[in-house]
Amino acid sequence: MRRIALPHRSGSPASTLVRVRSAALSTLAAAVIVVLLLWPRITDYYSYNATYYNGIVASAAIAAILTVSLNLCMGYGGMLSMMQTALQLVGGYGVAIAVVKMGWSWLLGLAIAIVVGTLLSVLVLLVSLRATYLYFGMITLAADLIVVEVGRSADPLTGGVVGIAGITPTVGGTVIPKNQFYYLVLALLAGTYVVQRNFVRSGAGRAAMAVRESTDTASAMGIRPATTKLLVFGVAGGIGGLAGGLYALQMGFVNPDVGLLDNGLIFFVGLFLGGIGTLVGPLIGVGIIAVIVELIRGYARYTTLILGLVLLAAIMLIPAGIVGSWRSSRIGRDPTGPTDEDEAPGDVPATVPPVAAPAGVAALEGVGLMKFFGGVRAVDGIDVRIMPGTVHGIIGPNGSGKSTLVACLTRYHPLNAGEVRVFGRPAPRAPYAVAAAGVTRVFQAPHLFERVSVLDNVLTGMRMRERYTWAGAVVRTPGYRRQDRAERAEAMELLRFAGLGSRASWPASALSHGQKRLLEVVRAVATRPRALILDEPATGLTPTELAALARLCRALRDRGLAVVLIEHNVDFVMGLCDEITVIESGKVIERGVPEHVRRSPAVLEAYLGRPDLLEEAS
Amino acid sequence: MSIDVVLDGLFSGAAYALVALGLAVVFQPTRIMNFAQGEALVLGAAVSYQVVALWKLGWLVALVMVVATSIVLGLLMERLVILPVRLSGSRYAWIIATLAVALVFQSLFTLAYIDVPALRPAPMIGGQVSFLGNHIDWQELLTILAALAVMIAYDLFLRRSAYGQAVRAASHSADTAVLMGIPVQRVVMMSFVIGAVITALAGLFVAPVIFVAPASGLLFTIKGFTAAVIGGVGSPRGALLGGFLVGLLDTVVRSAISGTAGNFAVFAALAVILVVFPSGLFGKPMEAH
Amino acid sequence: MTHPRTTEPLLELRGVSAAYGGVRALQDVDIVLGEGEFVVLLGPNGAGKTTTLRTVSGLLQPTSGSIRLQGRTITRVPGWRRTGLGLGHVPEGRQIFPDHTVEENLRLGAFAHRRARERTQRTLAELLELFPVLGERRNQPAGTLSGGEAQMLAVARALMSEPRLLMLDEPSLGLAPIKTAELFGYVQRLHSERGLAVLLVEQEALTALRLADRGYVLERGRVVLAGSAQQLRDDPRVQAAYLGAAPTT
Repeated sequence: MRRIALPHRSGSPASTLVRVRSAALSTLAAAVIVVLLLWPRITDYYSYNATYYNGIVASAAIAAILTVSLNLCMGYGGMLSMMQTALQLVGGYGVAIAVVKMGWSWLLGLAIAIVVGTLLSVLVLLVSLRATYLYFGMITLAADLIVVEVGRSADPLTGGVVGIAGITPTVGGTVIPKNQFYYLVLALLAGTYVVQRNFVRSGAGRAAMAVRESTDTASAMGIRPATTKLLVFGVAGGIGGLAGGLYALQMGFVNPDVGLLDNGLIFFVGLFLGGIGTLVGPLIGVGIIAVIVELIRGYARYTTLILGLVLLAAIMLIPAGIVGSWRSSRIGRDPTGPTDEDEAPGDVPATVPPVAAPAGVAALEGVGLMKFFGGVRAVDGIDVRIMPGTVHGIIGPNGSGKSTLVACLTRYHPLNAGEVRVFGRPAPRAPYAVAAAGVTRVFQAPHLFERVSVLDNVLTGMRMRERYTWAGAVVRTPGYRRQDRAERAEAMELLRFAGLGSRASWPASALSHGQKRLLEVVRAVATRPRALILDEPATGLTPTELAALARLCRALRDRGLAVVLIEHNVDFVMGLCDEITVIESGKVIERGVPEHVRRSPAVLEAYLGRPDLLEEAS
Repeated sequence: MSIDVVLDGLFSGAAYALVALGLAVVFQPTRIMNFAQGEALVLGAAVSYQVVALWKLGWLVALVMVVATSIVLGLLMERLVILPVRLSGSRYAWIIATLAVALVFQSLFTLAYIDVPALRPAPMIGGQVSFLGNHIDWQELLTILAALAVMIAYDLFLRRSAYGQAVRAASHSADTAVLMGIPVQRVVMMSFVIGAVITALAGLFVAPVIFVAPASGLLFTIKGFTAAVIGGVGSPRGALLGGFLVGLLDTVVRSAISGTAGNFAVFAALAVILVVFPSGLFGKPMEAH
Repeated sequence: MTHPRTTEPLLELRGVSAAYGGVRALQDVDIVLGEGEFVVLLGPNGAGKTTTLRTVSGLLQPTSGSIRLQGRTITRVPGWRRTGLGLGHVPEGRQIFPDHTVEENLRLGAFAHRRARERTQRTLAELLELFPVLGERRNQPAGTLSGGEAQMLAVARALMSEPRLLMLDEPSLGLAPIKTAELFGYVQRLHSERGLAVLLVEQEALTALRLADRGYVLERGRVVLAGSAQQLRDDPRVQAAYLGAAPTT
C-alpha cells in the first residue's frame, strides 16, 4: 500500500522507471483534475447544452462516491454487499424529507442522509454478524428489497411509488446554481477519496484487511472481527447515504426505483472494471462507464447489454480490474529488484521488551483439556505447562491432536472439559482476547496477507497497541502521525532483524516460502506476546532458514518469552527445545528433556508404528 | 382466508419452487448462486408467448422449443459463468459473472419484446375445474402438478441413476469425484443445462397466468432464492416445500393486507430465516463459494 | 517376495516436478513400480508424498516430466479417465461420501465401468464378502461408519474399478494401532493373493517397510533415498527423517 523510502541505488534502471512512472501518473492525475475543475467553463464555451454535460460529470462523481462505499465493503472489508442502492435510497429520502417536507436546510439534509445510511448499514450488520460470506450478501440483498418495499408503502413519508420531487439546494431562498453544486459534488468526491485513503492506510484499515483475509488470523493478533466489520460497514454506509443525498439533490427527485438492485449493477461494473480493493479503481471504473454510456447515447436501449458484455469481458481479460492489471504489468509493477541476500540478522531489537513474569507461574497452562469431534476424542485429557523463558516442544505423529491442542489453548475451539490459564489467570473466552492477554499463535498453513506489503503485514500485528481512533486516522491528527511513525520504525527494525529489511515494500506474495514463515513469526512478535505458539514453522524450510528460525526462537526465549513449538521435524525440535511433550491419539505419552524423549519406547512406537501387530492380525 | 387464496399461493409457489430447484441444481456441484437463473424462466415464457400467441403453433411445439432453447441457454450460461470463474482468481468472480449474464439476457429479452409488457400466451387448457366446491384454473392445477412431477423426477434422478449419484458426489468433493472416474466438468455443464430446462419449464407453465415481463428475471431469481433458502439449498424436496411456503406467504399477505405487503412479507421472511436459521429450515448449511 | 519383472513397468514417473500455486512441491522425481510390486513412499510432512499420488491420479498437473502407466503415457490424460485405466487412489483422510450409503459409495467407485453392470455386481459381491463389516452396513449412510470402517470403505471403493495399482495415502491416520494392523492385513492379502500392486504413503515407517518390497524416501520434494525394504529398514537415515539424527557423542 504505502511506499517506503527504499535504499535504491540512484540511477539504476529500476529507480528511473519508478521515477518516470510516478511523474507520468501525477501529470495524468493533475490533467484530469484540471479538466474537471474547468469543465463548466469548457462546456459553456463549446456547447449549447452545458447543463447537460455538467450534469453527466456530476452524476458520475456521485456514482463514484457510492462506488467508493461499495469498494470499502467488498474490496477492503471483504463483505459482499448488495444494499448499496438501498443506502442511496435512504440517503435520498433523508434529504428529500428534510428539504421538501420539513423545509430544513439541504446541508442538514445531507447530514441526515449520512446518519441514516450509517444507521441502516450498522443495523444490517448487527443482525447478520454470524452470517458467513455468501449469506451475508443475501441478507444485504433482502435488506435492499425490504427498504424498497418500505419506500413503496410508507406513503405519507416517502411519497409511495411516485416518490418525492422538487428537491433543490437553496441558500437564503434562492436555488444554488448548478455550476456551484457541481463544484460541491467534486469537493465531496475528493473528500470521500481522502477518507477512503486515510482509513485504509491506518491501523483500522489494516485490521479490516486482516479480517477480510482471515478472521482467525486477525483474532490471533488481537483484532476483534465484529467491531472491525461494524466500523468498515458503518463508514461505508455513511458514504453511501451521502451519495444518495447528493443524488436526490442533483436529480431533484427520489423514488423507490432508485433502490432497485438493477440500478446497482452499474456500481458493480464500475468497481470491477476499475479494480476492486484499490484506491482509485472505483473512480476510474465509473469514469470509463460514464464515457461509454455517453458515447452510445444514440443507442440507449443497448446500454444494459453493452455494460453486461463489458463486465463479462473485463472479468475474463482483466480479472483484477484496470488498476490491478496495471500494478501487475511490467511497467506498473514495483521493482522487487536485487536485494542484499543473506543479510546477517542483528541482535534482537530493543523494541521486543523483556517479559517480566512472577517466578514459578506458567505462562500458559492447560489442565485436563478435552475436545471431542463427534465421537473422536481429538484431545483427551491433556495437561501441559509452559514456563516463561523456555522453548517448549509439542510433538507427535500426524493426527495425534497437536493442532487441536493449540486451538484449545488459544480458545479457537470451545473446550469439552478442562481449563486454560494464562500467567495463572483463567484465559478469556474469545480468541482475540487470548491474544490481548499475551498469547499469540502462528498457524500451521501460511496465513500471511499475501496482497499487501511485507511492512503492512508486520504493522497489522501492532493493531492492539494503537490508541488513535479511526476518525483521528482519517483526519491524520498529530497523535495518529506520531504513533504511525513509531510503528513503522519499529516494524522496520523487526524486519531487519529477521533479514527481511530490504524487502519491506514487496508484496508478501513475492517472498519465498521460508521468508514467509519468518515474516509470520515477525508479525506475531510485533503483537508483543508473552507466549508465542508456532505451529509447524519448520515445514519446507531450507537449512539456512531453519537456522534463522532457531536463532529467532532462542533470542525470544532469552527475552523471557515462552515459545511453544508444534513440530513434526523432530531434529529441529530436539536441538532447540528445553522441554518436550509428546502426544499420541489425544493423550500425552511422554514428557521431559529432549534426550529422555528420544529414548522413550512409547515415542519410538508412536512414530515408527507397531510392525509386531501385523502378524497377529493376518 | 378462502381456499382460493391457498390454491393461488400454491400455484405461484410452484413457479418459485421450480426456480429454487434450478438454483439448487446449479449450486450443488458448483457452489455458485446463479443470479441469471430467473432469465431461464423468462426464456420459457418468451418462447411459449412467441410460439403460442404469435405463431399460433400450439403448446406441444412450444414445449419442444422451450426445452431446446433452454438447453442452449444452459450451455451458454455454463460457458459464460464458469469461464470467468476459472480465468479470474477473484472470490467475487461468480457474482460478477452471473450478474453480468443476467444483465445481458435481461436486455436481450427486453430488446426482443420491447413493446410487450407481459409475455402472456393463452392457457394450455382453458376454463376451470371444480375442487372442493371451489374453482381453480386448469392452468394453475396443471402447473402445480407439473412442479410436483419435475420434483419427483429430479429426486429419482439424483438417488437412482448413476449420473445423479455422480452429481451428489461431485457436490461433496470434486477431487474425490474425479478419483471415482467422474467427469466433474461435464457434471457441472449438465447441471447448468438441467437447471435451465427446469426453470424454463416453470416459465412455460406460469406465463399464461402470472405477470412475466421481459425484465422480470432478477425478481424471479430472488423469490426462487428465498424459496431455496427456506427449504435448504440442495434438496429438491426442500425447494418444493420452500417454494410453496413462499407462494402461500406472498398471496395470503397480499390478500389480507395489500399488494405490496406480499413482497415485503416474503423478503422479511428471507431476512429472518437467514439471520435465525443460517442453514435453512430443512436443509444443510450452504457454504460460501 | 519377488515378482517376475515384465519388460514394461506398471507405473513410471520420470523427472516429475509439480507446484501448488507457485510453491514447488515436487522436483525431478523418478519412481518406478513393477507389476504386482508393493512400494512405500516415506518421508516427513510436506515432503511431497501426497503430491506424488495426486500427480499420478491427475488431480494435479505436473509442470514437467512424464507419467507412464502400463507403458502408456498418461501425463495429459484428464484425471477422471485415469480411473478406468487401472488406477485406484485412496485419498488422504478417506474422503468417503457421507450422505451416500455404503453401497452407493462402492458403486460410485465403479463409475468408470458403470455400463458393465454384471461386472460391477460381481465385484461388489466379492468386496462385500472380503469386507464383511461393509456388507453388514450396506444400506447405512457412510457418514455413520467408524474411522476403521470408513477406511475399509475407502479401500473397497477404490477396488471397485478393479485397478492394477492401488495407491493408499496415509491409511493409518487417526486409527488405533490394532485397526491399522487389521487394515494392513487386508492390503497384504490383496497384494499377495491377487497380485495387486500397491503404492503406499505411510508415516509409520517400520510398519510400512515390513509390508513393502521396496521404498523411496522423499524430502522437500525430492527422492533422497531408494532401495529394498530391508536396506531402508537398516538405514539410519530413514529413522533420522522421522526422529532426527541421533546425537554424535
